[in-house]
Amino acid sequence: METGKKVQSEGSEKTKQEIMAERKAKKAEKAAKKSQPIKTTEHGAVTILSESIQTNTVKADETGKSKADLKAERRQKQEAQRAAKAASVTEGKQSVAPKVQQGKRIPDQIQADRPSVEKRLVKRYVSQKVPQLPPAERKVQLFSHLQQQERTLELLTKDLAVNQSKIHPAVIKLGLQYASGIICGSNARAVALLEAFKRVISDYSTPEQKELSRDLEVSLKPCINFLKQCRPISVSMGNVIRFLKRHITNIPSESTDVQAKKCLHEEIEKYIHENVELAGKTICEEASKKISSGDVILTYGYSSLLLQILLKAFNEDNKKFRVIVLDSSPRSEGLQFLRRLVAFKIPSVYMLISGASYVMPEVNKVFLGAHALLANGNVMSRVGSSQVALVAKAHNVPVLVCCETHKFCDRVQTDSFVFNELGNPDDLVAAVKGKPSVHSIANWRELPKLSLLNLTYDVMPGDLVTAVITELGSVPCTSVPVVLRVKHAETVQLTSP
Amino acid sequence: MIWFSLKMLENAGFEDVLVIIHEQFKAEIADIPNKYGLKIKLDITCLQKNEDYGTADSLRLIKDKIKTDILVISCDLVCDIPLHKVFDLHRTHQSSVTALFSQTSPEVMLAPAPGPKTKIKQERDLVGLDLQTPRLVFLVSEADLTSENEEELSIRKSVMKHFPQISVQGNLLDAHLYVIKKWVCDYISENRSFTMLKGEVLPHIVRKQFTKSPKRNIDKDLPNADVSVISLNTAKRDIFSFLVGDEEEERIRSYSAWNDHRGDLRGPYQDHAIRCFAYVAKEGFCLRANTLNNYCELNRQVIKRWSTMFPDEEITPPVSKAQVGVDCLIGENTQLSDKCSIKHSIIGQNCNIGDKVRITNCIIMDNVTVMKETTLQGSILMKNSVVENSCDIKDCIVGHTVHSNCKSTNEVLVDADRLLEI
Repeated sequence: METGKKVQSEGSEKTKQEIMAERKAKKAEKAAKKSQPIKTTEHGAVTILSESIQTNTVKADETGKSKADLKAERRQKQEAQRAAKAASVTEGKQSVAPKVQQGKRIPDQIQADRPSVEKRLVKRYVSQKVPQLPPAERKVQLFSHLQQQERTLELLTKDLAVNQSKIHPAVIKLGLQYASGIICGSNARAVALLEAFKRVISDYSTPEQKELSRDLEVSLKPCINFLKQCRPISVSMGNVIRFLKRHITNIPSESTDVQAKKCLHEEIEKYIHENVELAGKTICEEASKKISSGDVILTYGYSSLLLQILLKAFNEDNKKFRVIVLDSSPRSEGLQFLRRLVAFKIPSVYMLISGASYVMPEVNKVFLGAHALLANGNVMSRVGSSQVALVAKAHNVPVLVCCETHKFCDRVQTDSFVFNELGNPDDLVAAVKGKPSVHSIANWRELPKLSLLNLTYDVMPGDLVTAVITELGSVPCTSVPVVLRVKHAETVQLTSP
Repeated sequence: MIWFSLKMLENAGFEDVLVIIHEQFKAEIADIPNKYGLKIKLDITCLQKNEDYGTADSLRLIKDKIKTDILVISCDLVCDIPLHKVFDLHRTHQSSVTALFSQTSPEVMLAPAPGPKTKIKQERDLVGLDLQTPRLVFLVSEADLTSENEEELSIRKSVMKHFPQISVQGNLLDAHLYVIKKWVCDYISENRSFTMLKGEVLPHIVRKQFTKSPKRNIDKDLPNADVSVISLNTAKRDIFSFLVGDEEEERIRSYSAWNDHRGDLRGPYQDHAIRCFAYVAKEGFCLRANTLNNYCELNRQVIKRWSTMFPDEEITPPVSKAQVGVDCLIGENTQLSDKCSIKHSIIGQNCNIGDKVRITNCIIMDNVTVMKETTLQGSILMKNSVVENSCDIKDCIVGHTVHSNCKSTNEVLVDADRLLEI
């Protein structure tokens, strides 16, 4: 690219230089063809979410090769035209290499403080008849870019008629279960979403004059927006939605409704089976090798995958270890983890996270679950896990993160502020359920200078993590982009005819 | 009467309603949507006049039309509690039966009614609710209790083990509004012994919550492949065999870190496959007109609350020179003479009220004629009845004709040769 520009700025044209220019241009094309895929991933990995950076996005990555071909053709034509023009009077203007992408598009979820984006979202929700939640009375200024809403269950369904056709009842049920926290956890949410979509697809009938591959996606949009209102979607859910959309658009237009539905059902079953069940089993095998008898294992919060690992190691591989479960309010997920461990008679200790540094000297290994693995190697997990990892690092205890590849995400985050989910602030006040005790800040809304912040996720830097156990093996944190690239290549291969 | 229920359903967003009624009322009911401008569609199933069907029997009749979870309400319910809260409970927890209860004020129960003074035996239900979750732990009607044991309520040990904190309330009004899952309807249609929904089916299912579900791997029970096994297909299927589609829910729940209670080793919902939930409405008006008492009270309350309950409907105020109090509701085409005074009453359509008539706290149905100089107090006048001059009627139910100069209190006045159904 640069060489081409330099040549043009020289201005006066001699035939020798023309030839040189053409040769150089051809070389540049060849180099561009070869380096295009690699360059884009590097750029994509390092890009921080900002508008002004003109880099190639990962979108280019997916159709990398074909775009490079087109670009090469275009450049050839342009060179030819330039050479012709250069023979005439005017000096060649700086021919700009065709801009590939303007810059990365900022997702709507982190632009809650921009009125234009809010207006656009509101319009979309009204047109799709999705109930909207009112904004929170007291917003936390530091997180004003994230959605803060009064998320009470009744407001979601107040205006939702029982027989409206836009949002399928299975999706309403799912949304309510998300909002009330009945389904929580990355795997649970993704699997529940797929089951609900299976039902939506089987109840869907293509209207006349329309194609299933286009109309189904359109009819899924209000459902997805409703789920977004109930609870911001997780990374695993985002991947599920992308997977489903890809398969819907790839349905051949000649196939009948029945065939298409069957095909989609099979794909969904396959996704669940491969990415959740089989991946879980593989990770169990792998992780079980890392556990030896006499170990003291520390875990934080609840992870369905970790539970499987520990149960398998204890029951099937007969390893004698004990578990220390750390927990934090307001969710107290560690309690549920503890309950299931105790039900299988694994010796366990329950502590709050404030005791992490006290107990760390006697711990052999720390196992953590993850909500998502980001493209720069950082791990996004329940709030508090980065603390546990930090303490573990200080005591030289290895930290193993267990995560299936369907939770890998091509987003890059270095801190927990950019992208997070703000939970219900009232949960912080009524910390103990079932006890009608009056908490000292139960009237926090009346105190004007007080605002409560309930973060859900935090991001732990990749260098705190010793290894990530995925179904592709134990990999270091930095190999996440490689795994992503391999996955993208696979999907491109599978879906392109 | 059914208009209230239909309006409530329309507000909630229902479009189709299955109505089960006696044959004689069919034409009238079918006409209601047109007459009152409701957009809801009715699908009417008739019951023969002679047969005595309970609610469960009626459900069995229409079992072919039931394809999804259904909402069962009785047409004598007037309530303005937003229904979506009940539905949310049903959807979120995937409960088998969700019931609506309302905390009513005690004055309603004891209001005097016209007609002969009978000893008012209020039918109460003893409702057991869990304190931490909205689950319905037991449901017993007081009548059943007193007939079996002498005012003793026995609670099974399994109930106490699963729910250590139960609140038993006797002042809740059961609105007879149930959201029932489809498999429960299938179960009812299989078991012919159930006749009444509220009296039999509901307590049965509430009790069944605590029975242990049989283990699913039945294949392991066959020990020897050589021995031929004659499976005894008993006529009565176990209730758990009706539960469908539960495996995926269980799998998702096993991935998820949620529990509705803490402190014991049981999973969410106490590992119960059958769950009954109850929504107790603390605000809002809810009353059933299943006794005479309630019917009168209902009429009185509805006028007061009309604007809050049905903000779109308007009552056209009557135009006449009569003194009509604020709390009155006068139907169309009713002729009110001058100099009659009407307070706290409801008058139907096509009535004819004569001169110098004083009507207080009355319920007058359609096509009634009241001649002059009559005083009516706290009475109910049935359709097509005639009250002649100078009568003084207090707390009565008038069936047909009351002759002139009749003074009665607390009676039911009918013609000798005709019967009156109350």
